[in-house]
Amino acid sequence: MPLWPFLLGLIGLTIAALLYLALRPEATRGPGGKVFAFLLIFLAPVLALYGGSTAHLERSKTTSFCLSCHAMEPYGKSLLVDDEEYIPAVHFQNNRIPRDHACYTCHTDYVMFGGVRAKLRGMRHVMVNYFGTVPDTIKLYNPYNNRECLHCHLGARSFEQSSGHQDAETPMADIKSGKVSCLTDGCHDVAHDVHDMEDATFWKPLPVAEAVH
Amino acid sequence: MTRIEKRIRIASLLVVAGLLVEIASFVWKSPLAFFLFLGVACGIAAAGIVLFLISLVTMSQEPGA
Repeated sequence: MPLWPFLLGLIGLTIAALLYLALRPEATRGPGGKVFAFLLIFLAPVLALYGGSTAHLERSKTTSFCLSCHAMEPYGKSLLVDDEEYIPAVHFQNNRIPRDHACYTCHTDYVMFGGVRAKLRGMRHVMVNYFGTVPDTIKLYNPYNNRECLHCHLGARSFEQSSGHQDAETPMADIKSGKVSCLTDGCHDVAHDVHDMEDATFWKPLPVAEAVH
Repeated sequence: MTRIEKRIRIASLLVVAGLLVEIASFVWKSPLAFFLFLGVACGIAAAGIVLFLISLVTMSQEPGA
């Protein structure tokens, strides 16, 4: 259920009651008035600000939010490349990740407070985008961790029993421990590759109604 | 009007201003909206809350409070 209607209702009621209090502060003289003032000037704003931060954090997880920065446009476009070697594109186009949370799903850290760390990195990105210089090639701060892949793939038949993963040269234990990287050790090494998309063809998603029928 | 009531009025108006900026940050579809919320809305509303709490602590013993 969306948080917005409740939050806007709480904020609207709080503003109306606070304006009444600002016009008639003598209403706080009695014991009931003091409780009223405490609820309005302390409890209600704290709840409204907590709800606001939650709503903003949820919005910042959406694909459209990430792609609203100009620098991210090619990365969004790479999700539509019609090439099975493009790992993000394959995940996006086959619903292996939720399309409306595509960036966040792969680029968060699946550890305690990983979401907070991801959002702190995101705030840094926003600052660089508006007040710094965006590098021509955007790189991750740290090598991509297998843990993020295994969050979904671990235990999946397609992962555990695929012939490539049963290869004796790359033991499954090394993949699971992160000794062998999923992305940078030559197996799934085509990620966004935005500089190599000139000759690429792009998949056109069906409208939802058409896809259903 | 007593001093504490004047402070309650100022605190109320600060919180109202903070909440209005919070609404503006919801409407603004930009990544900077989060900074507007965190830096401006939370800052102004927190100033109102702190002013109210300080008033309670420092003025509740004064005559006429």
